[in-house]
Amino acid sequence: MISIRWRLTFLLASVISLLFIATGVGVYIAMSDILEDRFDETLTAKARALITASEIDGGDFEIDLTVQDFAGFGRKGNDYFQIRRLDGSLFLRSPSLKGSKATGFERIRQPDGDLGVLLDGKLDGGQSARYYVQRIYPKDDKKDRFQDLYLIVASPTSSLQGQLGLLASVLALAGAVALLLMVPLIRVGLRSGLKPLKQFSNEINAIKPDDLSKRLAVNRLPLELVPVADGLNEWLARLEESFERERRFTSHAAHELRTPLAELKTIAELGAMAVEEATPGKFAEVVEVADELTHLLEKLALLSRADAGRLPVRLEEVDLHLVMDSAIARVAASAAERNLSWHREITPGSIQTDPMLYSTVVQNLLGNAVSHAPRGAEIQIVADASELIVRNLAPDLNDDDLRHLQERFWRKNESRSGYGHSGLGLAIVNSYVALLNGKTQLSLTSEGVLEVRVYWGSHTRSE
Amino acid sequence: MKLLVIEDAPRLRETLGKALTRMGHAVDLAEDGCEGSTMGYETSYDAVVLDRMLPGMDGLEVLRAWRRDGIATPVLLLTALDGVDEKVRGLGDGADDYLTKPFSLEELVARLEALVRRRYAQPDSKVTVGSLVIDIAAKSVVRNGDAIVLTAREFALLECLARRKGQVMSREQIERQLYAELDGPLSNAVDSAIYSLRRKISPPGTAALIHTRRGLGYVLES
Repeated sequence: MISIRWRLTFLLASVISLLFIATGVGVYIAMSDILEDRFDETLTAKARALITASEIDGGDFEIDLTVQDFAGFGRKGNDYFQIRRLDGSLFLRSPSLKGSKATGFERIRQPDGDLGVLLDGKLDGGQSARYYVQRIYPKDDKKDRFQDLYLIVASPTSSLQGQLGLLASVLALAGAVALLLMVPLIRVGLRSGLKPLKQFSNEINAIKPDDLSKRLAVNRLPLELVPVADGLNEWLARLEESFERERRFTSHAAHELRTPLAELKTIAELGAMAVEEATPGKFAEVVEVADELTHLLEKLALLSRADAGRLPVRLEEVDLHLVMDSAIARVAASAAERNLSWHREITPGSIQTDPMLYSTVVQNLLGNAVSHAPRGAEIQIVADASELIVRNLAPDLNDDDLRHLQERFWRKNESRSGYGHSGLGLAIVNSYVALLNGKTQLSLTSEGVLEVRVYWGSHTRSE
Repeated sequence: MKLLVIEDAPRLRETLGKALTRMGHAVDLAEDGCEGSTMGYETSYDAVVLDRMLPGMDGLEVLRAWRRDGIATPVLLLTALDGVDEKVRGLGDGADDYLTKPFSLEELVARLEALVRRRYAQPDSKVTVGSLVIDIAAKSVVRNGDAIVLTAREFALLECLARRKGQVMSREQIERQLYAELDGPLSNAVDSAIYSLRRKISPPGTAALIHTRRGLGYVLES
């Protein structure tokens, strides 16, 4: 796995290398143009100096030797010139050509006009050179004897190529050194630049699974890492909540199972200790505890099957009034004992739903309402094809409790001292409503009325 | 032992009460934290069995309040929460021992006796007074090599005096230790029990071990 540091190093090194090469090539081309222009200007200036210095003196053509020497055309000079007639015959040559093999002037064509022309060529020795060709009209040629002359000036470009070669070498060497130094420098720079990332990583690693209450400090982070830290903090909060819910579930499940088991064990031990304690009443208690445990396990099994999607949904026609009457009848005795009254708004008719899931939801909601509403309270039921609402006074609940009401085994009173209530009722409602593609919404009014509103989904519709 | 059981699950509470009473202990029962807390303040128990999760006032709240107010009665926390952190929390809040449900009655009583022994600085379950050897754990009494058979109530009285060997206990103190709140003993119950116990542990020809301090109470010493 390649690190971000190496990835950035490679990317930056590649980009900087390309920039270096492009810059080097640009500099070389620019310098080459400048040097060539200067070379040509010098060549042109020398040629013009020769033209200016040419004259007819006493009927003879001559060029001031001082100018020739000064311009580099003397015996030891490196530049050359020839003056030829338009018929191609050699008229005059520079002292530097005497004894030199640097010829090749014959290959230079005659000028078309009077303007000077610069040409590339090679001297006979194979040496590259620049040529300047221009017609000349010597001063004081009153007899027009020298009006068919043209001047060819040649200057070897070896010195220019030497300069350009040196420039190329310097650029290449500087570039190579820069490229060699660039990788470690980029690494050092990135190490410093990515330090906050390393610290961020250390901070994340420092969060232990058993301490999910920790959050990443956002205020010290670079701007780019703030969204990451925010996201992680949000994720940690969800994880903490999930772990806490899991812990509560395990703890509550343990309590729900361990307390009845402790009862069974102590009743049995007491009976074994004293035969007079092994009464029918005690055995009835044992059966009662076993029944409670069985009921609890059945509920857990149903929830587990619902969670695993192994609870089939079978749609049938269900009469709303019949379902409600049946559910109310089951809790009627408890409701009467607690002096509770009913207010029903049931839309007449049938709906298409799963009768087992639907009636279990209704039964659990009414059972909860009867168990938890204060004495003498009214329980309201509103039911139609699209929703079911159960309202009852719940003075002990607060807004914070709403978050936990559908948690498995959650009870307002942690002691779980009452028998017959496992704290699974609303969790079952939630699961079953989800199986019917619906959703459950809980709300608490300022007057302390708990409203459980079930929106039936696509599996429940009116007939 | 004079015990207080604070447990909100009625069946478990009643069964524990009966079982411990049958084992010869005086047991008071409380069904919630508030009631149990008050009883702990009002009566000196040898040990308390305290449920961790209680309605009204949580078991740990009861414990913290007692410890804050100097009630040093040994407390055995009884709970369904078996996590190490829960145990550490309970012990940190002042519990002397911790037992997870479901439990064995035998283990519960053994742990309570160990707590009470520690409270009265007794290294083991045997108390020796002259030639009388009382094994509180085995519930046996031997004098000069002869086993003495006692009723549960007589043994409870002897145990009560033996745990405070050499200390004078008033009739009221003994009554509180021997009888549960709801027992309502007769006014001469303690005197009768002392009389009966004296006859059994000090037969004719042996030195008396239970002495009456007039106006003060009774003391067990050689």
